[in-house]
Amino acid sequence: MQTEPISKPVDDIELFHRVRSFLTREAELIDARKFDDWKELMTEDLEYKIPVRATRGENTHEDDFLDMHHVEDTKYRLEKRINRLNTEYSWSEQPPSRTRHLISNVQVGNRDADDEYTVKSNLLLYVSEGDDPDHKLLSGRRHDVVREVNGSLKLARRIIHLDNTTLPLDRISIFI
Amino acid sequence: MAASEQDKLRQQASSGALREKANEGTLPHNIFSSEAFFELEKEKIFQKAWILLGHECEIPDPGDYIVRYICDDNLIVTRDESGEIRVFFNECKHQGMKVCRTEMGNTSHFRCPYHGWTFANSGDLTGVPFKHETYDDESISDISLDEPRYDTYNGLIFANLDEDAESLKEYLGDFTFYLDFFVGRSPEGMEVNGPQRRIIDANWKLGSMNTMSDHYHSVTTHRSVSDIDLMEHDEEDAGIAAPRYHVQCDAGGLMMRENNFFKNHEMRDSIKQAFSEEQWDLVSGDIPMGGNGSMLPNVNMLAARVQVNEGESAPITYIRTYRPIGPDKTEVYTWHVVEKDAPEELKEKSRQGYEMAFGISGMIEQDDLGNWSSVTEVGKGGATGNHDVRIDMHLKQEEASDWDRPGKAYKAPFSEVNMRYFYNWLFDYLEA
Repeated sequence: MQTEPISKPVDDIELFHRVRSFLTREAELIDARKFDDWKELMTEDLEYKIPVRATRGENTHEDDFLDMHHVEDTKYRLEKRINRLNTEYSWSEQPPSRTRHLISNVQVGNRDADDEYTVKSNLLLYVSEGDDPDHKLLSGRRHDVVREVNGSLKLARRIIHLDNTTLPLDRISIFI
Repeated sequence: MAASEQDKLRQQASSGALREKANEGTLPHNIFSSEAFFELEKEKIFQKAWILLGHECEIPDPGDYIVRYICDDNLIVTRDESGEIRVFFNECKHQGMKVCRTEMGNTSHFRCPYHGWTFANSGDLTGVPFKHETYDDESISDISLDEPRYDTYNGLIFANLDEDAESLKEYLGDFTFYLDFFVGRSPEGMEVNGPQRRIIDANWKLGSMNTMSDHYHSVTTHRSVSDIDLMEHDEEDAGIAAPRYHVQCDAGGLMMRENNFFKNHEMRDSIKQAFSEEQWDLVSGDIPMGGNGSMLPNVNMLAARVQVNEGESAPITYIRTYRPIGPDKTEVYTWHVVEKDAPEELKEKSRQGYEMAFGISGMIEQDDLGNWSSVTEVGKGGATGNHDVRIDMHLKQEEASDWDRPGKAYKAPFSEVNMRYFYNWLFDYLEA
């Protein structure tokens, strides 16, 4: 099941390093607000989802996710968001948020028949806005599928399980 | 703000002075930030009016429950073993701890973790540890979780903390004629996805005012979404400055304009069956109408079409409500609403369109939040709190003579007439 840890992570150090570098570069492009470059790291059939979590079970997190998302993007929808940020009127990001994506606990699964790797990582995302000394902090587990495309890695799927149910953000105008 | 000024604001709210001021077109800015005014609203509005808790489809089976709030009061909304919807205060009848600490789930009983008192989902106390060693039978014989008044309308579940309040039916009045456009569009009923929950640093009134009355902000605040063609517009769409009917009707207000939401809706045949002839005529006649609005005090609703994929649009509807936590802190709940009899593929596209345009990451909604939190923050200023904000657009306008539907309407592309309606309703409660 999706939420489980990878049972047999790869022991190929070079591959692990390639995937780790890919995740780092991708996060740095978001934090540097180079969204048009970031978009190029996505496959055409991208799925980018943040399902809504709810505290449901008394004893388990198994049933935590609702049939609803905070974000449910395809490449088309992601491009719309980036195009909006590129207009003069994207008020929710004016002035722009300062984000810092910290990616850790990376695990890479073995390559499958579709030239894809299952990649899991933890996310800690720090958000600072304007002159507000307070910050917003989100944490979550990312379940990615990374694909080999003509010798490069691209992100084909990302499902982010945030650890909050009620979000401490008033809006998601950043890329998580 | 100094305590004396807080008292003054409260006194002005109760005496009718603020209503007079609102009808002349201004509000004191600190109406969005004053602690005293907020306490008055909590007591006089949120403990007296009918407040939305959720939708029946969130608890389809016996034992299903959701946990919701009215301000700080925590409520369990459950379907008991006989299939009836019940609403209970989430408060153990022994020493007052929450008997349920999850947000939703399924259970036949709620057991308090403190001393183990156990209540069936009918509310009745069914278990007391060491019963014979602790109480005589008589003192614990007729105990159940307390219930506020509750009722439903077209799947929406409401509660009222005032035992003497009018019925939900009386409260809604003829607003149901319009409410059905959002929650009564199918003979089989509607279903919801969600809710998305989040905390915003804004006063609860701003969202309600905005959605029932303020089209003027769309021109600037939402300019980016027209620049990227997020919404579907077709040739018959008369554009952003087309005339609107600003409708006021009992427990709500909305803005209606020529719009193809119903005319182009994939489920139009089934929608027609669900509506009365008058309702169908309004949304599908010579000038088909659609729009958005608010039910008083704190429920927003909107129906529109969103470009969900390349060359493909979907009808979307949301219901949004505001739980006041403090004058400058509000929890927002949003649900996507769709016809139960719609094909799965349409339901999915509709949900995706909603998520793209509205809700926490929605490209329309995200630009509203900064406005509302900024108005709230500036209202805290020692000087700016005492300044006035304007709600005087079209102050002297005559009622539209060509509106032969429930309620009354004012015709203009932009107007603040429904904000004044909102405040007159609010002061009816605050002055009572």
